[in-house]
Amino acid sequence: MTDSTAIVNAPIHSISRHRLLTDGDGVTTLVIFNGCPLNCRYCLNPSTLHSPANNLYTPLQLFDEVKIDELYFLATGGGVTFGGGEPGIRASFIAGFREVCGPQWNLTVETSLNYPSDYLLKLLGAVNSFIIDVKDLNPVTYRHYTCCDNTRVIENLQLIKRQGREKNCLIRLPLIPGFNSVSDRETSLSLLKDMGFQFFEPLNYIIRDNPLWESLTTQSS
Amino acid sequence: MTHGKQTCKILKEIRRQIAEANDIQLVIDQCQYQGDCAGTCPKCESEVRYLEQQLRLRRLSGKAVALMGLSAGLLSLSSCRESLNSTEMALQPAPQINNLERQRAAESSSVAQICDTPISKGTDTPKIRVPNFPVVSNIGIPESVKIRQKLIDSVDLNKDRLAGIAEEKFPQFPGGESALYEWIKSHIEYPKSALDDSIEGRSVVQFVVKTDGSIGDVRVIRPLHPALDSEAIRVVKMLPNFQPGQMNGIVVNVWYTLPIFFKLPVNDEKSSAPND
Repeated sequence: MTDSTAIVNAPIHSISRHRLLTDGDGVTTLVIFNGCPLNCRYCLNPSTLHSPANNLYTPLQLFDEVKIDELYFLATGGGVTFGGGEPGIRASFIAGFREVCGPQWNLTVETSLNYPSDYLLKLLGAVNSFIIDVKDLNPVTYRHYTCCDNTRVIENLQLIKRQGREKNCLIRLPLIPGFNSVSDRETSLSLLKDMGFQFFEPLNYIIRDNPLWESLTTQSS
Repeated sequence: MTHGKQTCKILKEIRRQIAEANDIQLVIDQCQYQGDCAGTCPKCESEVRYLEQQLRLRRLSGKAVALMGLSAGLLSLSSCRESLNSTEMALQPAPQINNLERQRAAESSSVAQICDTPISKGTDTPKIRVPNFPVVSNIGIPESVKIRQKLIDSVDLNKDRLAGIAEEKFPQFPGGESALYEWIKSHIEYPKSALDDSIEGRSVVQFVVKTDGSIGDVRVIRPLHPALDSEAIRVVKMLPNFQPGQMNGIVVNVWYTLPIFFKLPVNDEKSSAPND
């Protein structure tokens, strides 16, 4: 363990044990970080958009909390899935967690890839697989939906390919009502296949009223 | 059955498999709890702690511990496909720390993402098959035998991965399970070195029943004795073709786990007919 693992900490929104077939193979524990660089119109977890000062964990503290299910992890090929929020911006924490938990647990991140490549490189050295929500590869659509640019997403996808890790990626392709179409999604799919990615999961976002989302996005704007 | 009960059932099966693979006595009672189950409870947790303790003792005594990937077949993520057909699934929003009631409330919150892949049925209970093999003398399969099978991939991993829980049809040996054990019994030759050393017990073999019904990737996942393990592998490799397994009507490769019990014959038979 390096000294950095003792001082790196991250705000964790919640921890969910015994997840089966939702976040990767085997029995998984989902660790949800607070904080996200995007501001998606239909954010699934709007309560994670902010990074409160409480619930700060060090990698060792998190390990102590989730190791209770190690037997299940090892027997089923499961482990810990990091979600959020955006776990990619907690790359140092996740790398520290890998040092603590050792090589046997399967670590997965659910990520948008919209962060500097330095973060991704740290993740590449620490996790086994990526579940990537690219939203839509069209930069106009992406900006419309997330209020952000997707240049870094494309660059990071290319970095993953260069590192030969595309086979460890499952790319989610959402159909986002009011923002993209089936045709747009197929265009994204085609582009991603051209980039060398192989595994995809189409999603349909269903939109309903969510007062929590409205209040939080109002606060953050 | 509630989501929690289904989770409990799967976790219980994993514990049972760990105990069985490591010769740990674990009595798993039928859960009598009628309330809203969170998927685990103090009794379930105590069984996990007991297993951990027993595994530690095995390690300390120099015995092998079978754990890695032991139950992987129960939970294989059906993750990847390219077709964009629709079947709805609600992804789970962030649960709250140590507060399952709030978690459930969050799961039914008013914003949901819908996935159109088959893994959406992730709350269903995977089918776990527990056939009833008869006890046989000398060489055979104990009545407590369990076959663990895992779907390892679909027809084309790169194009249409559909592992996981679905309508499953498990591989069938020609003539059924009793024919399988009779076949093994008739082909096993008790190794002389094991006879001389009076070695008996169970060797657990795992293999893949391929989509053409042939056997592949034979390995011992719980060794007993080098000679007996080799004999178990030799015989399994000779098995005639199975009817291959299917999932959702698609022929798939299936992991098949087969414990083979070697029991020493009585002394006067030892030198003449070890297999009978």
